Amino acid sequence: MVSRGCEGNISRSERLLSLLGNIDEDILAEAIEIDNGEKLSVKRNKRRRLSVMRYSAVAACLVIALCVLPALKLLKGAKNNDSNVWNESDSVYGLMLPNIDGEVSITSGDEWNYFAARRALTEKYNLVGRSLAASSNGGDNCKFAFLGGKTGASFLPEDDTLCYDLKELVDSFNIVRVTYFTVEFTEKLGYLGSRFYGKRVEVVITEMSNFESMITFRCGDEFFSCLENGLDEFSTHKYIDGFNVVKSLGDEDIFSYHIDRDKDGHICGMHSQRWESIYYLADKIALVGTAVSVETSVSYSISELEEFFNQ
Amino acid sequence: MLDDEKIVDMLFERSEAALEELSRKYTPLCTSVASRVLENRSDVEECVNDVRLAVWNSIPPNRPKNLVAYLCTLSRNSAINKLKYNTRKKRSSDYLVMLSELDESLPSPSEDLGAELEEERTAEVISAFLRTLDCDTRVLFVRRYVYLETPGELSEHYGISVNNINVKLHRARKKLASKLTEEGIVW
Repeated sequence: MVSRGCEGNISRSERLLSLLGNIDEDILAEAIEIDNGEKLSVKRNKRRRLSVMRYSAVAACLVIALCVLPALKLLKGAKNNDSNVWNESDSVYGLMLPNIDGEVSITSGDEWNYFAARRALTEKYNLVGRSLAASSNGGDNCKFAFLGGKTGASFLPEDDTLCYDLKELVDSFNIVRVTYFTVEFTEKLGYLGSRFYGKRVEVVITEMSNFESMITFRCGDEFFSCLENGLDEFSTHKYIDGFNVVKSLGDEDIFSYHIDRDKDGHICGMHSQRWESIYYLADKIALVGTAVSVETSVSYSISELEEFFNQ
Repeated sequence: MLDDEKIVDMLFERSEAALEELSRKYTPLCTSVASRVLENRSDVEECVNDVRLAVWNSIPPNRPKNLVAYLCTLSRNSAINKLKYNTRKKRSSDYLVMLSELDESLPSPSEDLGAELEEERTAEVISAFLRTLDCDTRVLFVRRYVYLETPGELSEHYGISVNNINVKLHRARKKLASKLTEEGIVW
């Protein structure tokens, strides 16, 4: 049985439906031309591939030689340090990495993503940009205020639908770009702010070749991750619980934001697409140090990562 | 069969053979699109004939870049117009489901219901809005609400679960409602 609402709304819907037939021809043609999943996948990945191809090998080699190789020593050195403190002095371009102490045992998709990103930063990389930091120092386009969450929301919805098991998708986790930076939450109004206020939080954004991008916030032993839900948009609509991707169909916007990219495709900021209201509050965050993006093409299984960090 | 570019060239030459070729090649497609809106077979046939006439009258001056998209759009618009002359009883259940979905994309009713709808501007706003969506969602949205495919058909074409499609469409509709409200478009 169809829920029809009032006749007035039916009439208004029909007018909207009529208008939809007058949208631009290229949009209509696109929908006709992309008539199967394979073409859709190709189109989806085209933007990323174009971005990757922009960078010449020569420029990448120069950047690696000048900038990243010194960082490699520091990154590798950090994990051998016994203390669990931030090595602010061990920084390259202000990028700081906390030490990893104790044995690494990956028990969730959050941790998998985080450690894969950490490892990708240390090997098989091409440094492609650090525009996040550059833009944050006065750039107009870089915003770090993003939606902190629904007012009063302290838990993710419980009546969610299991979407899929990450471990079954191991072959799809081909990481093509990692962006790493650290932020401090300067207000505690929103969902993440209430958890991480006053603390330094690592943020990794991993972009996959054939899977949604994932963002992970890490603060000590606490992890929070969600998947891309639309182009450059992340939200609790798809969050990680253990190794499961959970689709939040109810309060899907407990947490939601967009990442901004510069003309070269580098991440240069984050912002909320929603406006603050009595229902939604924006967390204020501040970038600590700088950000680094590396382009790569790697896949790590859980055992490979544990072996790498525990050797 | 002739390729689409050739058919359009023949239409520009006012060759009636172009219409015959068009009928041979695309009648099933136009019938399929019209059938999504109209349940009565004779209405559908009439609609397809109207499309043929519309093609003859609109090309030239129009030169569609994608003839299939052009025909699909003409078919759905013709079918919707046809429907407006029919009683509500003739609306298909699928069509009503789609209308109820679109309720979510409607801005709040204005007190000034008599205000003129700026159709051209609204179409521009919707086009601009669709460009902000990711490719997946945009294609699904257009296929659903312009070409009137059901979520089940979309799922079959694109290998995406019906549930996933419904969620993507739901979010897009909500965003469209926000956009239309933001642009002050009410009717």
